Amino acid sequence: MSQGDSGNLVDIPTRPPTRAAALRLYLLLSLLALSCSEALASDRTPVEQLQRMAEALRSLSYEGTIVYLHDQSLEALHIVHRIIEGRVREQLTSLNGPVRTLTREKGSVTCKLSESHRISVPEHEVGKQLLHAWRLDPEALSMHYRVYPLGVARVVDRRTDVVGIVPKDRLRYGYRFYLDRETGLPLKSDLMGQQRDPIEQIMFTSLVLLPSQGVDLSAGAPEAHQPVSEPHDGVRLSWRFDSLPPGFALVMHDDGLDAGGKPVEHLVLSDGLASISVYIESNPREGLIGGTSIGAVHAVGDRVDGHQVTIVGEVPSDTVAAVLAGMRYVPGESP
Amino acid sequence: MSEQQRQHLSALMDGESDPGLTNVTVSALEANEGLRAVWERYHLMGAAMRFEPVREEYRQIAVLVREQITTEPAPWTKSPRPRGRAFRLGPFVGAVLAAGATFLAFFAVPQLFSPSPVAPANHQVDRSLPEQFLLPAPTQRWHVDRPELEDKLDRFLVNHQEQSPASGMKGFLPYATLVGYEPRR
Repeated sequence: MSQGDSGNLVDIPTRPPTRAAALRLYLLLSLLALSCSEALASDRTPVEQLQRMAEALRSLSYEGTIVYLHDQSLEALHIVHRIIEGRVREQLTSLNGPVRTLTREKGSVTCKLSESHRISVPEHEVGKQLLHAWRLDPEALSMHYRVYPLGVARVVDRRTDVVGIVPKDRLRYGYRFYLDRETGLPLKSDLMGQQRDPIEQIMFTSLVLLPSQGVDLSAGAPEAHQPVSEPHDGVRLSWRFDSLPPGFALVMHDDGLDAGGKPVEHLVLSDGLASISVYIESNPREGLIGGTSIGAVHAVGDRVDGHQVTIVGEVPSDTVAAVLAGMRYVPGESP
Repeated sequence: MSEQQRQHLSALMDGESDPGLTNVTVSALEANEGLRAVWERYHLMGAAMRFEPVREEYRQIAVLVREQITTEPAPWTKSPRPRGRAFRLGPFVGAVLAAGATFLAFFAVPQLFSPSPVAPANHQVDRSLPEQFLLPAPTQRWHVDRPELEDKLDRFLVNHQEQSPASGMKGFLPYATLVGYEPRR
């Protein structure tokens, strides 16, 4: 250090950067570049990310604890999802309150809601084809939803890309999916309505990836779902929808039996993402009159032309009400 | 009491009963005191072997059979449910179980019936507590007071989720409502 002529200025001699300083600078820049690349969203488009999510759900085995938030209530569940010999086996168990389980095995779903309340839904051929043939159709989706990248977030200590599915009207819900960067699994899902806060949220708090044995073979080759103008079995429907909510079309018709062995006609309407079921019974002992809900699922029922009609769907109450209001019994006519 | 009746009873307990034989088995159970005793022993043994406390209801469990059967899985089927695993009690196994039941009845079960030292007391909540601290009371799913209607709506919802085209797309979210939803008043 030397003192200049003015006596007040201090000259700091400049030295050429040493090898150590250069190395430090290189490391600093490398870390900066790495952190920037991690913060950037995936180079996949949002639609590609959603397609990857659907594939991950079909092909990956995993186990973990998830939390479910609804109506300011917080519940915990344990999930085991395995792909074994190409078949999906899944068990979902509530860890709060009464023990409730849902088991998906050998093509059927059994839901045990209490000691004495158990529901079993065997595989339906028509429904199975429809369920597993579904894949994301960007063109159909774009008619009533917008898909946006919403950035990146950290969930259960893993990096996720957040994708938003935003409805264009109030007749359907939206979603925010937090998709694992590594696997594509949704680690957090928000069901969005018209309010600022989500209607329901579900999130992994622990996740263990398990070895899978092949892709879910029951899924078959994915094909875009197409609305059908005629029932699959060629039988002409006795019901007409005078005015369906925009975007919804009949995609499935099936005749089943209720718990007492009485026939129940089942119609499924879909806009490509949201689905609504219409159940028609001729002369049931019990039937819903009016509206009710469980979480974000709404149901409405009434007597229509001598039949009990019950509409169920994960859509706003106005949407199920609109479907019910447009139903008319027309024997021998197609919808 | 025939060996065949024992086998049907075992299948019924395992939830593997042939749908066509269920009513016959239940009727036999109602009419035959010996079968009822076997039924109760099976439950006692199951609870004891799982190290579960044995509830008093187990001693009158046959009375509850009819009620249990009427609320068994409500199938949404076109044809009877296929039979599951072929686990049946053979004569030898039956004899071993009978001996085990005798042992449990004399030694293990009485201890299980004794009050548990960690059993929670029947707490009375102080009504003077601020309302926001009280635990919310559970209420009916679907907010309906008719169990039969509640059951029907649950069946409709399970069937709907299973048949909806995009259920798989939403991952486990649709089923969280079924399993995790705990209604509060």
